[in-house]
Amino acid sequence: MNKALLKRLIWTIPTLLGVTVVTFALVQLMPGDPTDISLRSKGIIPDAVSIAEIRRQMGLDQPLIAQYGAWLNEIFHLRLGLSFQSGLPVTKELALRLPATLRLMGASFAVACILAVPAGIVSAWYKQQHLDHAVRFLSILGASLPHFWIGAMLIYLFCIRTNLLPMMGDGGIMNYIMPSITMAAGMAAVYARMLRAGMLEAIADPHYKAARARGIKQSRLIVQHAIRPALLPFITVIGNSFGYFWGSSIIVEAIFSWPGVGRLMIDAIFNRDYPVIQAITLLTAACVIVVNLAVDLIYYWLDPRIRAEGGRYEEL
Amino acid sequence: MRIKNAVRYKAPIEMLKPWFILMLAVIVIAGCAKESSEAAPSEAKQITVASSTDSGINRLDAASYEGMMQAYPLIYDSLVEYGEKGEIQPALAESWDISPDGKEYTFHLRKDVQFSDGTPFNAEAVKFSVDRWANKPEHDWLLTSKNLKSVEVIDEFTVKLTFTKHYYMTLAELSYPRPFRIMSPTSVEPAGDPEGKFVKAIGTAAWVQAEYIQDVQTVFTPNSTYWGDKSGIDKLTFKVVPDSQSRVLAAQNGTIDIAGGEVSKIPLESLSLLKNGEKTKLATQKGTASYFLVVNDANKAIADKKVRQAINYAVDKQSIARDLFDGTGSPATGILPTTNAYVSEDNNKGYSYNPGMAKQLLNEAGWKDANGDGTVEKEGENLVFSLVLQTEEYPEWKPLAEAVQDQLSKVGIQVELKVLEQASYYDALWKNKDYDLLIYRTYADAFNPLSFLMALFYKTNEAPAVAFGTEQLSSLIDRAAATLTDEERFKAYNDIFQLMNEEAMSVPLFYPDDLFVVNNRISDVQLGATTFRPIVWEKLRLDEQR
Repeated sequence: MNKALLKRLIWTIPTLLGVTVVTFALVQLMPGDPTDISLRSKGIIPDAVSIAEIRRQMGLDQPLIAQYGAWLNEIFHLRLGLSFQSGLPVTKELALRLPATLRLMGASFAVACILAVPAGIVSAWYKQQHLDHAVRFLSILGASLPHFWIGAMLIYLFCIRTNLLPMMGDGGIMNYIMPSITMAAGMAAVYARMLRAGMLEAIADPHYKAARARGIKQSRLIVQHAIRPALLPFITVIGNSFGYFWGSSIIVEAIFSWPGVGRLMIDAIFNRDYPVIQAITLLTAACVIVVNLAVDLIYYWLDPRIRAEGGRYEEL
Repeated sequence: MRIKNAVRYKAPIEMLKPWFILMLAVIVIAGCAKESSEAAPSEAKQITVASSTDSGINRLDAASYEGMMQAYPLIYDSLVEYGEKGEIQPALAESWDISPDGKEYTFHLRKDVQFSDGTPFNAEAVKFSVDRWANKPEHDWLLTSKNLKSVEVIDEFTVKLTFTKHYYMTLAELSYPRPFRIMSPTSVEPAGDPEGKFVKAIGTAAWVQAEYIQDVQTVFTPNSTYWGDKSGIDKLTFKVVPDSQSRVLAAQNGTIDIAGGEVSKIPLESLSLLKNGEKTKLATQKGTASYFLVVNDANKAIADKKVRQAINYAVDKQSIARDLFDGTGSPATGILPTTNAYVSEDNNKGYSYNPGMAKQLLNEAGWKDANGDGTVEKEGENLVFSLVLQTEEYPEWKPLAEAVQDQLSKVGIQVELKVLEQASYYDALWKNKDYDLLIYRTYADAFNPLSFLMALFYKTNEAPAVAFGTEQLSSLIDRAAATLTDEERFKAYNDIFQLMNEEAMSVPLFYPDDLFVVNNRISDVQLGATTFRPIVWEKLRLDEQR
């Protein structure tokens, strides 16, 4: 492992610290008083005494810097505080819902690949022909249609017009079909276009012409000499799409009543449940950082040019 | 060049054959899986209800606020229940006596009741529940808890509560979904210890918890030891469906049988779709809440009674109810609908729609449209109000606000809509009063009229009223709270509503109905008297023909 990489690893710590500062500040800047909201949302008509009492319980009577310190302390002990709303540890709340969200994200990623890989290959191969136009039209459509529209249309088609698929919840494999297609549509479009562009670039490359001149078998020609070089930028996009899937899960989970983190987040925002909002934001940031790091590592491992030059990380 | 390629190499479409076969296989397998799951239809008579939040049954301590409000009455009974127009009805207490000074309540309990786990229900069990909530700081907002002096077991089926002060709302508060319902002493560990740790929801009411998956669903089955009528169904499932549009689709599809009310609001624009749907119908009744405008008298123009009256005259309540809400409620007259206790046709007259009168009143107050731009002005300044609202909880407030904006513009009042995010909206209402007009709703059920008036229209020496307050109104509210008889109370509330109306302390807009979408296979739907017991679940019947 080279030095630059190590440096990058170490840099994640101040980055995460920065994230905690920003998250904490943003949460504090939001209008709305969590004590008031948590009482009223439970149908209690609050008076000054009960507000003061609950404020003390939540630790909101402390100065901001002390609240921030307490939160950091919790994080260092790998705890994330107690939810204002349920009173349970935030780690427990997350552990309960994270698997469902991750499963949905995994399924969506798989669906995106299943749709995008053949579409991208076909599109590149038949460049500027009908099939290519069709694929490009579909991908623009997929990228532009909002989740709630796709979701509602799928439900209408498969649950109302025909009763083929279960409408809501996390259950068997059938439950995954509609939410994962909804979530995957946008990303499949991006993947397909990336693959198409990458393949076209590879096809234009002299090494491809040379390979073809040698009369290499078609499948090998496409896989080895057109797809493989196209995969490198593809990996970067996959890394970026983690954030996209994570964000989409908020809406998709609401549409399909999926018991995941997205819904926890919405409820937390409405109820100004600071510990939960902070925990999810921090977790998201941490995941994005880790995924990006992983992407770089994979690059390093896949592309001999980077290893040879030791290059990519020198710039960072 | 490309064409030549295509001739020499086979089309990659061919290459992708295995891919397509794989996809096809997945679809077929999935299709088969579906069929096998449908092969075994359940025989049980079950009904699925949509709820927008989780029931929280694992934390449903009768003396806590952790669960969904509508879940408490499924498991726990109260000593008395709140009926139509606030009439208090017997429940676990067959009858009760109140001492002449209003400080002692003696409850005579039913003798044929036991908790769902077989624990006998008696005065000791009531004392256990009372001890669990009495004088706890988190219940201080309810005077029944704050003012409780003692609880005494007189004999096996008689229990006496003594209070430091008379409070006419005591029986109504005891009927609340929580925290005063009666829980089995075996619900906590160690059993019977009022400070014990809550373990399981065990009550005397019609249902028991059968299955619970947090954030997914809670299944209730009939309580075999229930003292009331036997349930018509075998299983009642509350399924969490947070998105209102998804609830509409699920009702159309039959995945859920019932949605609506406060359990899971349904968007108004979908009602026509569900009204006479292929699978759905509507069940409605008049509600106890109303939508109204809060007026901020910190605004100099609004501080003038004539301007407030003008706004009231300028709003066409009939048209709002008929055209905007499509008959899903009634035009508002006074601040509260007559479905509430102590509200009658006579003390709830309100203002008619009379734009001519509105203009005249504005004129009298010095607001005239001299420059002919359509907006009235005084001392060179146009009459412009901000109207604050939120759409997260009440999406229908947007069109409502637009209608009000349009109607006020016709008498020369310019209105600027400010749609705020939910929490900022509540900040504006409760904290910073950053609005001229604001759409709000009254409370429902037993909270009306007293708790609602106390919360919004009560001014003290230390604090101004949240919505609008005068010393005269505060003393009238005090008088109503201290009354001993129903007759005095009626008189006190007549005075209150008359004063509020005369002074135009708010602008009543609309009385929404309680609305439920119900699957056609359900034949009997009896709606409940309160929002926390919206449907008499045990009386639901399935139509056997279907």
